[in-house]
Parts: sequence; C-alpha cells; structure tokens
Amino acid sequence: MNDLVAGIDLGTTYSEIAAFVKDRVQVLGPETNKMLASCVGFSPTGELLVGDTARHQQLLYPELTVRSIKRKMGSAEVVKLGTRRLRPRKSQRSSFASWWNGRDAT
Amino acid sequence: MNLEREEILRRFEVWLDGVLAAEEAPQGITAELLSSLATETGVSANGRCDLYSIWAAITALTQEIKLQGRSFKQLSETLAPLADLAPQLPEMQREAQERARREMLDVLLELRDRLGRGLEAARVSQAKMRESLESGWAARLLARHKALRQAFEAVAALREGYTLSLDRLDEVLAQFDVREIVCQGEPFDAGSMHAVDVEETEQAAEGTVVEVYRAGYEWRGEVYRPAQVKVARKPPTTSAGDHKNE
Repeated sequence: MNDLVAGIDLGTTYSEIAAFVKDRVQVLGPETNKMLASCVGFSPTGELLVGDTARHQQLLYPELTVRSIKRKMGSAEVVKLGTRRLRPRKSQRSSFASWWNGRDAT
Repeated sequence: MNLEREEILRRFEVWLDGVLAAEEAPQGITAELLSSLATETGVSANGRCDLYSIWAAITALTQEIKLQGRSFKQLSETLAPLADLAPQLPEMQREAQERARREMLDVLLELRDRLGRGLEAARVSQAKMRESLESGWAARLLARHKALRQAFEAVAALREGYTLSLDRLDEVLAQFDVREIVCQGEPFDAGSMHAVDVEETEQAAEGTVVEVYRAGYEWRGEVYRPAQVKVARKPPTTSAGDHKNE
C-alpha cells in the first residue's frame, strides 16, 4: 500500500486538495476549476453530501447543512446537523477531517 | 556529399582567415623581429604552413570548440524542462480540448437561455394582446384596425422565429450529447438542482420543484450545470406547546 501525501487549502467558501500523483503534484477536484465548496450536509434520506451538492440544498434544508465551518475551527462550539450535534476533537481542533470524524457531542 | 565537404572546408577556411587576420601581435617581441617574422610566416611557395601559423590556427580552433561546448551546455539546460514536459503533453492537450469544448458549450447554453426568455416574453405578449382584444366590444372594434392586426401578427412571427431558433439549437446540443434536466414537478435533487427559492405551500408535496428559474443541463450523462429552482416546503405548524412557551 502506497502512502498518499496530500495538501489541503481549507477556505471559508471553497477548498482545494492537491496530492503527489504520477510523479507530479496534481490538484484534485470534481470540476475543471478543481474547487470544492466548503459545505457538508445530509439529505433528508440520510445521504452524506459534500461540496456543491450540499450547498445546493442549504436554502431548503438549512438544518441539514453546515457551511463556512472554518470560522468555527478551534472553538468548542457545537454544530447541529439534523439529529446530530458535532464538535471538534479536543486533541485535533485544527483538523478539518477530525472535525467531521468527531463524535456526537451528546 | 563532396559538395557539402567542400562547402564545409570553404567556410572553415573563411573563418580561419578571419580569426588569424584579427589576431593581435604577440607581446614582448620587438618590431624588427615581428616584421622579419611577418615576411617569413604564411603559406610558402610550396603550399606548406610554418609552425607559428599552425599553432595560431590550433589555438583559435581550441577556443572556438570551448565556446561551442559552453553554448551547447546552456542550450541543453534550457531545453531540459521541455523534455520533462513531453510525457505530459497528451494529457495537457486533452485538457486544452476539454476546456475549449466547455467554453463553447457555455456560449451555446447562454444563447439558449436568452432565446428561451425571448420566446416566453413573446408568448406572454401574444396572450395579453389576445385577451385584451377579446375582452369587450370596443376592443373587438379596435381589433379590426390594420395597425393592431399587424402588431399581433408581428408578435406571432417573433414567437415562431424564437421557436425555430431554439429547435435548431437543441439539435446542435443533442449532437454534443447535451440534454436539459427535467425539473418541473419532480422531487428536488441536490445533485442536479440548486434550490434558490422556497415556497411554503400545501399545494405541492414537500421537496417538489414548483418553478424553474434557470434550466440545468447534463453533458455526457453527467451534470454540467445544475438547474436553479424554487422548491415547495410545508408551512411551519404552530402547536399548542409553542403558544405556551410564548
């Protein structure tokens, strides 16, 4: 198994991720502009939505969508997402991944 | 082949003559000795060169080879990054083609949107004119007026023109494997639709698209541009408990 080294530019509105693939650094992403909306959520059926797909439903299901989470990074604020209440892990508050892998606050 | 060899030798001879002619006199030698050397140097009657001329020519040649070698090294270093790019060229070419196709597609879709808006405006104008002309006896009387009839016919022609243009454009888009995403009356899908407005209503099921503001498109079976839609949502219910809290 090869280790993949990736770098993440976590922006308030959009994020980008780059990795060393095929002997060169490549920006990975769903579109040609390689930008991913900094937005996550769940559909009413419980499907995890990331990026633009989550952003598209924000107006309709604000209780199931979280956006601009960067502004809350490092804080102990609990975010509601449907029936879940999420908070960053104490040990890795600055990590985007750990935020979303964090355990339920309740 | 012989001609090339002769040409090379001729050019070499011209270059050598130039180098030797431009050469400065050796330092530290008296003028008398130099003049005596000058009379003795050069090609002799039997066609042989003296030792000084041969040495000067070899020195000039060595210097020239050194300069050429340095230039070649610089050229190799300059071209090295380009050689590294060679394996990536097919991918870069594919990306450039993809970008060009997308730019063209954006223009076509924008054109389609505008034609669609024009068609809708013509349809609404025609409907209003028909409604007003059929609404009362005075209007019916006015309808006989030539100018009004002409205006009505102009709007009808405009509508037909928009329809024909849109049909042709849809044919072109179909050739590019582009198709419009059907949204009206369908359940909201965050993957292909963007909810830009919400209407609280009991007339439609929650999550149903009640209006399409801007059409969305699929290209090669994938969402190219999501549709902008208005979606129905249930009005909030106020329970007795809420009143107690207030």
